[in-house]
Amino acid sequence: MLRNTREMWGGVAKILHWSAAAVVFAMLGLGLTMVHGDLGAGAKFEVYQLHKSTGFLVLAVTLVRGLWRIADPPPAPPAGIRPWEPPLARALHRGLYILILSMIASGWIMVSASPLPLPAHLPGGFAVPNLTGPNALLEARTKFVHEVVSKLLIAAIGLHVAAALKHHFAPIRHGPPAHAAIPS
Amino acid sequence: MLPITIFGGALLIATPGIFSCRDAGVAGPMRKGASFTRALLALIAATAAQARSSWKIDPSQTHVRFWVDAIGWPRTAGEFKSFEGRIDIDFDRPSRSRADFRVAAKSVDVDSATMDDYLRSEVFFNVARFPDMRFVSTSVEKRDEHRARVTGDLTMLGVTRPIGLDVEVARKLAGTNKRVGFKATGVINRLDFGMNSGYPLISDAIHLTVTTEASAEP
Repeated sequence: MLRNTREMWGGVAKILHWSAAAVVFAMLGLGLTMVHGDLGAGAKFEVYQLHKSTGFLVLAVTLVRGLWRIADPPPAPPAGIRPWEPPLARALHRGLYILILSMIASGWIMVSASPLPLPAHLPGGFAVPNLTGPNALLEARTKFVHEVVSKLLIAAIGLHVAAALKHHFAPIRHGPPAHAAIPS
Repeated sequence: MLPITIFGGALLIATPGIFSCRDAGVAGPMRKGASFTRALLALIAATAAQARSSWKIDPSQTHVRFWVDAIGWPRTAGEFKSFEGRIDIDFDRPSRSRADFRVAAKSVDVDSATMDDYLRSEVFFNVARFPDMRFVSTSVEKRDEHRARVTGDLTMLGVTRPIGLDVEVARKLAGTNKRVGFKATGVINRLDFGMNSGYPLISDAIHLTVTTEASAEP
């Protein structure tokens, strides 16, 4: 089933969820590697450019996913769930969207504001336009935001995964975890 | 590019006898000896018409390398793979020796195709507009038996500025396959040539090392 039901996430939502997970994990991996990895200048350059290009893939997936989320209402919270859990889950899900969009925005602005002109390239060689002209101070600030938000995102993903695993392996007292996005 | 000049210095160092003959020759017999040596040398060098001889760079033994440091970035080291040059050496008067060396800017190689493309862009080498870099020597100054200071004009991005190079010389003049090897090192200030991108995060100092071997042209 492609669309969500009252009990379960649909196929489209699941595919979008796991696509987002894949590209976000790839971005975190590339980002941590390029900043902290022991790379030569050439390899580091390649990873940076790949990270920047992949950032726009994350943007595309996140936008499609957000629109689908609005267009296709999510399943209702399962019966028997504790009353404080749905709002907490909603807050965390919104937080993940906000953090991911903040990463994209801060990354794009950082690249745009860099005094060294080096745009991201999409497949086909298309150079992504800059959002602003060179501005070293703006670059430094957005770089700081990008780094701090990346830590928050990692923490939020940790909570999200922990919560998902909890619902998967410790079913709610009065109901099955049938609505989970984890494929069974 | 730069290398060639060195040959003036290399030969000067490698064949001191030639120069001493010339300088010493005031008296008749000595003068004769000097002329003879010079003639012989000219014969060997196959440039009988004048005292200047041509030396040919061995591309397989030549490397035009550079490195540059940047803040928050590992040292970028690379080389230019495509170059051509001429060396003409005047054994009598090394200052008349000439080196002319061209490097194809697009042959830059820093072990990353993506970064190579970026360096070729208008941000750095702008190879579409300035395909070649050129070095033409202007003077050779002997330091000691194995070292020389070579000065010349470097043209990069259409700007010509003098640069200096320290050159170590190794000679292999025995046998029929006469060769001279050298290692030239110098620092180029890229801002002098209008290559300002990334400064000051990327250093203005480009460290250049050229190693080469040249053989006497038949």
